[in-house]
Amino acid sequence: MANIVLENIHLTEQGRPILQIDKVTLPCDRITAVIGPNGAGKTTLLKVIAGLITDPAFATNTASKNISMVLHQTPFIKMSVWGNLLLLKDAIPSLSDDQMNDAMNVFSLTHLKNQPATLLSAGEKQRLAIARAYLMHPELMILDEPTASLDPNSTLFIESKITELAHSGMRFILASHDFAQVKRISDHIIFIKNGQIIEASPTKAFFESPSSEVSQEFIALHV
Amino acid sequence: MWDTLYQAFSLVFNLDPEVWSIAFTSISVSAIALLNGVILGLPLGAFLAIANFPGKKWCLTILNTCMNVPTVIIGVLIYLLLSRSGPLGDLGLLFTKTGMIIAQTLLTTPIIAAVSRQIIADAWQSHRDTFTSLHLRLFHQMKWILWDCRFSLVIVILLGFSRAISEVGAVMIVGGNIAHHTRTLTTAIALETSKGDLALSLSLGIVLLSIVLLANIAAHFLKSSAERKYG
Repeated sequence: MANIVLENIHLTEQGRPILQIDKVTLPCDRITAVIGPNGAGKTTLLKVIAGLITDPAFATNTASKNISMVLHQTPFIKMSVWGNLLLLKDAIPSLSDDQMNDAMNVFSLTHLKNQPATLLSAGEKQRLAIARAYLMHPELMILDEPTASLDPNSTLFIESKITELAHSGMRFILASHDFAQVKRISDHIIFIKNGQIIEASPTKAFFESPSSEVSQEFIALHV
Repeated sequence: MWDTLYQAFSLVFNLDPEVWSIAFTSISVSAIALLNGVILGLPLGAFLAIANFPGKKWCLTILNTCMNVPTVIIGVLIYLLLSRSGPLGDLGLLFTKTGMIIAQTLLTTPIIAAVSRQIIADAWQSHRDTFTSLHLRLFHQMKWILWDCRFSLVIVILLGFSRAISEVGAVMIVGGNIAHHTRTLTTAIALETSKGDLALSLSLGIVLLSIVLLANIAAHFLKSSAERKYG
């Protein structure tokens, strides 16, 4: 998948800049992690890439791409796990029951098929949300803090699935506060602060020789 | 007073044919009007909650106004439309149950649409990004958000039913309160009270209250069982 180009993205909320981008080209190779302090604009950046925040002034090259986003906390319909996958059939009429069963199997949800989705644990909900996004066969899957508040086992499970899918050709952009995780699975880092993209570079280079002072300070504080 | 109460309960429990005929007319007219209100009002409420279009604020203002229009005004408007000299006079619907259903549909639809819009708009805040990300079209978004809110919307349907079955002004004007034909619980209560037959009036009131109470209990049971199942 080609790199992501964002141009003329200027978002404010009550006068406070949320995202300020004149023009930037972001890497989209295997797994890219978006990091930055709370309120830096990570989620907003992800939503702009996913097309969930739009504006006639924005110029991006993402509109024609098949992108799916999993939110930090996905709300589910008051139905079973199966029912929550079933609604995808309205978006993808060719989706078969076999494909849905396969996705449930991949994400270890088969035994929860008839459980109300709203009563699943945080880890199970996240697996369901990612399974649903996976069924859309996106070129790019965007994950907003996919393992926040999950236990180590659930975290490792999600990470392993992301890595597997990345090997099979799917591209990922994920926001994370977990530096260890970012180092484990990502190939590129986008560092964002105060709504501005400070640095976009390979993960190893970012942590070993950050190009800006702001990045250096951030790494020094968190590592 | 105690004698009147005793006579009223006797009429109800002895299955007085007149009482139950009036109750049946009330329930059937209100149920059909409610069904119409649900079929029209819920999709309209969902559409207004989800869709963005120019003039949406005006639509909401008009809807909220319709919700508060006095029932007698609706009655007069429908009367004018259905009367012999009116544009729909040839249909012969004045002083019929169909005419009453039309009037009650006009009463239930705005209230169902307006209140459901508010409930759905709140739910939409949390579902919007997910539905958009799943590339669902507007019609499917409406369908699933309605389904997600179904247990909360039971209260809206109950509200619509209460509005229909307890209404007196419009059905009196459009239905004409004709015995064994268009006489409903509310119009009969008004009539019997003015005639001084308080026992019959009170018995009809007991039936009306019982219907509303049963509907409330059913709605409460449905909502609480859903909360137990889905949290």
